[in-house]
Amino acid sequence: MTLANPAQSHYRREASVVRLSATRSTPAKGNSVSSDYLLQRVARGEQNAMNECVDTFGGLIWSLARRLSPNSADAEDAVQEVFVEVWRFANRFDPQKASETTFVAMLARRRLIDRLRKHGRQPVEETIDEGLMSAPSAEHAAEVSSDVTRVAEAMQQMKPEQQQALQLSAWMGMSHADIAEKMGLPLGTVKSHIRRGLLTLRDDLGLAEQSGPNGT
Amino acid sequence: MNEHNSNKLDELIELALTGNGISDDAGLNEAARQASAASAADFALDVELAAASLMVASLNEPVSPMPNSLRDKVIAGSRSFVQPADNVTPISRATQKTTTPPSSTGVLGYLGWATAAALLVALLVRQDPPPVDIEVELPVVEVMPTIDEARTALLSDPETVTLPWIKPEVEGYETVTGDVVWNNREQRGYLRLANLPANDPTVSQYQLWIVDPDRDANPVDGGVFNMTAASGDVLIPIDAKLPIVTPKAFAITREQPGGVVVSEGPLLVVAAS
Repeated sequence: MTLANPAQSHYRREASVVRLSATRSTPAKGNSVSSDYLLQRVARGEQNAMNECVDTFGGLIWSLARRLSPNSADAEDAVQEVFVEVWRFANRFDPQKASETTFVAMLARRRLIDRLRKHGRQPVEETIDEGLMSAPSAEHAAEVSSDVTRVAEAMQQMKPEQQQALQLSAWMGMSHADIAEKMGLPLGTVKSHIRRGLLTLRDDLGLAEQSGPNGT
Repeated sequence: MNEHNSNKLDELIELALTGNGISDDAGLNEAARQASAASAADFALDVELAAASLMVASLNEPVSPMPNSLRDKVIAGSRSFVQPADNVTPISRATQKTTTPPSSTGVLGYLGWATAAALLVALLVRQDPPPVDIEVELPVVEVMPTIDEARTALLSDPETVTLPWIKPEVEGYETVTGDVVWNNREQRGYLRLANLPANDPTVSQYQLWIVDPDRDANPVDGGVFNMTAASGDVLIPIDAKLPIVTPKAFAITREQPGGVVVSEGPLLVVAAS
């Protein structure tokens, strides 16, 4: 008997919709706090919020970790480290600045790139070549969060060369010089692509006008 | 933005995205201000958030659930970050009104935190007062039942169904016995298994499937689990990934660590209604 299971695929899609976009938890009935975010509850050290956080963002972090880890065991270690970062820095989450999904992804990115550097690993070629170089799908991004959707749409307006430079920088934390070498482009062109691309994304995310004294 | 500031902004972007620290450099701060940021650190955060959004957008696939074993480890690791609540979890508070005659020390039998109230009772006893009413606020302490207790409690619910494993025919599994207990209203249940061969979690894991034709023609993932070389009955909680409508059968396969989305079987053990 073959257990070909579209229901499972459906589950995965459901999970990405429900778990990643449900970034605001429902306050308990009678609770005067009407706008508790999950990460704010995590910051208060609520165990049930931490469990919910694992269920909400575990899949995302696991997916990112697998892309940037040489094997499953390493990815598992990375996921555990990322969640420690989430527990430590949840109090820095600012809902005016970014969605919870983006904030958690940022912590994951930091940790994953830090692991790449500490272990002296070069970016995994297959990871670079398979999938990352395609334009982000707005359809997929729409399932995650609105800010990710805006980024996907903005990326689709960029030239493939600029997309690739941005992706190498975002995914791998590669230096401008390394990206220029890999892509066979002049260093100045790479810098310009990345700077302009990031400024565009930053504007589309509405970050520029919100910059203020915060951060992790 | 002039060329100098553009160069500084490039430097700042590279520092932010390669994971190197942002130095307190007047040139970086000025470039950040030219880019409508309060400081270099704020601009770096913006850049990191944008890069993170880009990563998520670039995944281009539904996220995969992480393995249950990893989830358990992460949750176990979170406990050291939980704000302590005196080692008990009061899920609600009840007010119990206790009538205490002078000769009674019954209130002392309650939880330690009520010692103050008990001392008050003792004082009243020495002064030989008339019976007094003392309101003692007692915490309702949630005691997590063992899996055996939870299963037994579930069995007491008339809506719970019990399905014995059909005698397996797959070689190596012929002696497996036990049953499945499932409560559809509560959407939870347990496997009871004896003689299921042990697995090496680094090589393979058992995966439960729930056949639910009213939901879908294909079965629902019921979670992965491991079997150690334990003797006797082993109880496994069912971890249904989707709401179950009408469970017709439960089946166990052996899969790669973490389980699979599409199983080729074989069905090692089956229970059916």
